[in-house]
Amino acid sequence: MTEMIERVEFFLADRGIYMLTFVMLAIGIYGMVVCSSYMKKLMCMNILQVSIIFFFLTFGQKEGSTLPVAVSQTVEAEQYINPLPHALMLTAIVVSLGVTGVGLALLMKIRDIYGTIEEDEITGKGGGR
Amino acid sequence: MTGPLLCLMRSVSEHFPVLVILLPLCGILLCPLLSWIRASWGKRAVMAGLFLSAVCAAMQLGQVVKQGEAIHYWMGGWMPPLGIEFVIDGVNGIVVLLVAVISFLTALYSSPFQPHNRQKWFQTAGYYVLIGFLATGLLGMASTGDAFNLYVFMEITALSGYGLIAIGEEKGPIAAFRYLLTGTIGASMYLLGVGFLYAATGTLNMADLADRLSGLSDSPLVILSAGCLIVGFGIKMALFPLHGWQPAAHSYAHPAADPMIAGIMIKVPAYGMLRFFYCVFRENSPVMELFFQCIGIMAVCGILYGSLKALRYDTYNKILAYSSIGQVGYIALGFSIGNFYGIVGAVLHILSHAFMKTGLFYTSGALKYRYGIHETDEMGQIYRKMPLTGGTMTVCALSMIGLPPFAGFFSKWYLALGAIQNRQYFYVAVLILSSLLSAIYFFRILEKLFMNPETAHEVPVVPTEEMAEGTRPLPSGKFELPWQMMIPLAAVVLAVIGLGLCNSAIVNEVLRQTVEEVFLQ
Amino acid sequence: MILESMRPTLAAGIPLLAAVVILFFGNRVRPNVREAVTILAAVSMTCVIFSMIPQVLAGNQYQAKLWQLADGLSLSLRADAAGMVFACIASVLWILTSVYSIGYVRGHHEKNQTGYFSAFAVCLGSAAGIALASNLLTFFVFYEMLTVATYPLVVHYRDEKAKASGRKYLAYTLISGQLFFAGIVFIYARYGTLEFIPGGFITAGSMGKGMMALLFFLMILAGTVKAGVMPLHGWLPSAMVAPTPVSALLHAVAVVKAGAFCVLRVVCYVFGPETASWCGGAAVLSWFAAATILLSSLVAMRQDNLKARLAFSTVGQLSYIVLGISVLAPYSIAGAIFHIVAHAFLKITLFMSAGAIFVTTGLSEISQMGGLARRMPVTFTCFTITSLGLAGLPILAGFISKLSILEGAWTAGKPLFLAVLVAAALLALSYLMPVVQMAFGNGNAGQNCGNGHGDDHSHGKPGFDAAPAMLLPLVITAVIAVILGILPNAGIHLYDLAQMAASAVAEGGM
Repeated sequence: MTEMIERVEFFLADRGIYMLTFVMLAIGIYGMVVCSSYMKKLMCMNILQVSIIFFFLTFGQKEGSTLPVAVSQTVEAEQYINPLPHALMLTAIVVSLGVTGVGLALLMKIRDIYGTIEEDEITGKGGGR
Repeated sequence: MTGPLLCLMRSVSEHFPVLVILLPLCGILLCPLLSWIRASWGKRAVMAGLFLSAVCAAMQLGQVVKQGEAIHYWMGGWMPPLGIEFVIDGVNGIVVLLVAVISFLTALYSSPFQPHNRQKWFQTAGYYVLIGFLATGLLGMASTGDAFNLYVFMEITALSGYGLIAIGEEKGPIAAFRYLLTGTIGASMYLLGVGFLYAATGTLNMADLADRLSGLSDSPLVILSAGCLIVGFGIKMALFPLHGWQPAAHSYAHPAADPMIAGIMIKVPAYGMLRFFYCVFRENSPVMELFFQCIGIMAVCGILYGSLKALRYDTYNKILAYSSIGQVGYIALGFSIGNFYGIVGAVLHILSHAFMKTGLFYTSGALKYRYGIHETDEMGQIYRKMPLTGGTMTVCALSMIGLPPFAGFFSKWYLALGAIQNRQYFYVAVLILSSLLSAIYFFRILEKLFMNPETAHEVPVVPTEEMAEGTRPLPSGKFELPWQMMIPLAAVVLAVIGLGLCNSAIVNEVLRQTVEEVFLQ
Repeated sequence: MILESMRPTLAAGIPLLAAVVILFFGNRVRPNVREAVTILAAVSMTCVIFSMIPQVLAGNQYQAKLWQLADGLSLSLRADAAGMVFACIASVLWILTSVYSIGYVRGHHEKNQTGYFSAFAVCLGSAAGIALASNLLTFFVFYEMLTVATYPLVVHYRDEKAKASGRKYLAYTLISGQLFFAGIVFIYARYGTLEFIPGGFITAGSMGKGMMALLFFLMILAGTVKAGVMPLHGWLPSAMVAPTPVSALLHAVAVVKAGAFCVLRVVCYVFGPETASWCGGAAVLSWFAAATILLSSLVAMRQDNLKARLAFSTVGQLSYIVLGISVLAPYSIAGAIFHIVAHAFLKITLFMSAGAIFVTTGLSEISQMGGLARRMPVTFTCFTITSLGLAGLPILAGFISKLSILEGAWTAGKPLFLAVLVAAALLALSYLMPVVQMAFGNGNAGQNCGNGHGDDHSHGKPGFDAAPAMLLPLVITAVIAVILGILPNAGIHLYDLAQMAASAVAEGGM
């Protein structure tokens, strides 16, 4: 019994964070499919993007090393975590910000045209040409 | 005198891969400022940028063909795998040229759609900035040799695409928003796939990835990543069953930008898929097995679904949009056949379908511009008033069906040849069935065009408020359309015929070496 | 010996060029200029084709390799004996139908004349391309061009009826064309060549028998559809809605003959007699053809519309050609090739007569034509002569070709086909003679029908027979039909060419 708990603990410590990331990804996609409000869909899209950012950041980590910032005490490359995923994710965050911005702008326009951002009401109103 | 000029020429010729992308980007950056000074200067800046980019792309392709090997361009002189690398070989050289040419033509074509009103300079500038960014993103996607860089360009493309779809017809914003959601899932899936690969190998350069992956043939991480990439590219190229966003987006986009969105925005991700799978995973047999099977099934279903669905509509743009789903299936079918002729057929189909679909959407835009026609039922006898439009429609439609001697026939020829060489007779049957189905819906359009009684089209005399989508009277009554729109139409017709007649030159001079040495080593 | 030359290119290129010129400038210039372009193109095409005859008769071939059409396959044209026969009749008849068309469309005040003449020229260009194509891909390119170019002619009137028959036409031809395409791709992938070789390049036994038969039918389907072999003839009678010169073109010159020629190329130059008989395809084909010959005659008898009757007669006569080819004996192949010529001249005369009757008097039903011969004596004389020729009476063109087919069937040891052929000749008499009898018999159709379409506008009182532009071509074709019956080698040695082609096939097949 204790052995099993140990194994579970080990697994969680080792891979658990990935599991959580994928749960988050699944929540994002699930929400985008299920929610009927476009605003909520947009939020779920953000969750999806954040989960991928987490994923990248997570595998950039390694035990016993520090942030990739040049500090006078540490000079060995081994003592730093991999900075590349961080750099990539900075770009990805910018992209996600841009996408969210465009999404919000679109929502405003949709609201101007249809007076609502609920999917059911829009498809009900607009008819399905 | 000639010394410095020669020197300049030489240094320019060393930088073609980046110039192709930088020139339109410069045009975009200058566009708002110039538009503010004078309304027409901004769009000219973007057009000039795109034109120069097309010239550079052509010269770059010439270089590749001449020297017989790929150009590797290192950004800022940083060596891969650390720096970002642009790789131009025969296949993406020609895709880059295609994108640049169609972007330029579309920018030219859009000009009459823009408000002539001095006060609305910002609207014009914004439109051209979006077109320019779309082109830049697509050019970058096609040129880059770096997996993450591809993601960035993919998002640039997508963001400008959302904008161009949203400023289209009334349902544009909804279509754009849905595309935004789906497209983001696609891009995220791509990013996830790249993340897996990075986790497995620690590099993002495609060539480097290919080397390091060769030892990891059955790592689950790699297979998972391949799955994510199929979904990611599949969404972006509107491959069945991931096409959900596409019909609305292609139907309701801005009529002037639609040719570009429908013509090349789904082709470059297709090229991306080709490159990723054949260059990166090539030695990884389990992944390729998975890829062949998945893509084959998706392609066959997509071809049949797209063609059958197109039969059900009478709205011109809808028919074209669903037909694109089928045609993207052709390209994917070529990937899944996977021998020389299969890949050649797919690449040729990327080229020929880009021109055909762009041409058809040009005609759709022209009909909207001139008479406000959306439905095929309203097209009766319109060819008498607009002979060039009618002619373009006929040529492109016959080519879409796959009748010789137009471009569409020859890509189908290579696809069928590849399929039979692999003994995949089923694929040949699908190709034939799909040609026949597309013959039904395209001949139905042509029948309406040539044989329906003439319908009355009232041309509103007062320009409508939404200049972009309204129908307006002709500025000068001499020709059927303004010259800016006639040139692209004529160019597309020539391209469809020319690609058909010169296909073997393209295959042998441009594609053969790359396909044989890079994709099929 | 093979001579590199531009002539085959010119033969196919002139009509296509003319089509482009007519399409772009047809509406800008006066009709006379437009039609002058057509005639000029037709005459120059004929000259080019005739100029190749001496060398071809001497056993040489003109060849033009243009450019690579697809990887490993060039767009190439070669004038061999069989191709020359088809090209000759296509070009000669183009001149005559053009002249006739001018009379017809003006007399009938047709609309869309520019498109009409342009599509006509494309059809003829493709027919020349089909005749001279030296490989299957080139052949297919022209074949599909012909399919598409014929469509606007079929739907010329643009009403519901025309639309329906246009759809039917496309359905038949496009489906068979696509299957043909699959066959070509398969052959290329399998054998690595598509070059036509007398006697065929597909060797018997290189595939399973069933597979070979499947391939054979895939390839033969396109030809039999255009040639109207039953049960694939459905589009042909309904395409009768087109204007009469189009029917003449469809039935006598370009389209159906292209189908028959396709059968010839596939059976004799791709598969070869040996393989075709080995896989059993030729036997099945010959039975279908024989059945078509008999059935179509029976159907033809029941048609009251003159053009419909002639259409079913075409279905039957084309099957003679298909039968001649599928019997696979050298005589019968020569007969079949010559029947392409004979039937072309005979049937075009009949159709032109039908059109002349329609334009001059407005009559299209046979039962209304009582006594019409008094009004149009020349037309009906020609009609009678060619009817007899179609039945295969001696000293008329149909006789020699049918005799050759009979000889072939006899030497191939298939006496049953002899009976079919003889019966069919009698049946042909029985459906064409009533028309003649009606026209020369009692009746007053000639008197009170002077208010046909043509006379409304041209002149008040009924003139002598049809307008000269229509009368002249049909007299010429009738005369040629008689000449070919007496001297099959008169002028351009068409019968020799047919025999050369047949013997080349037979030798190649050894």
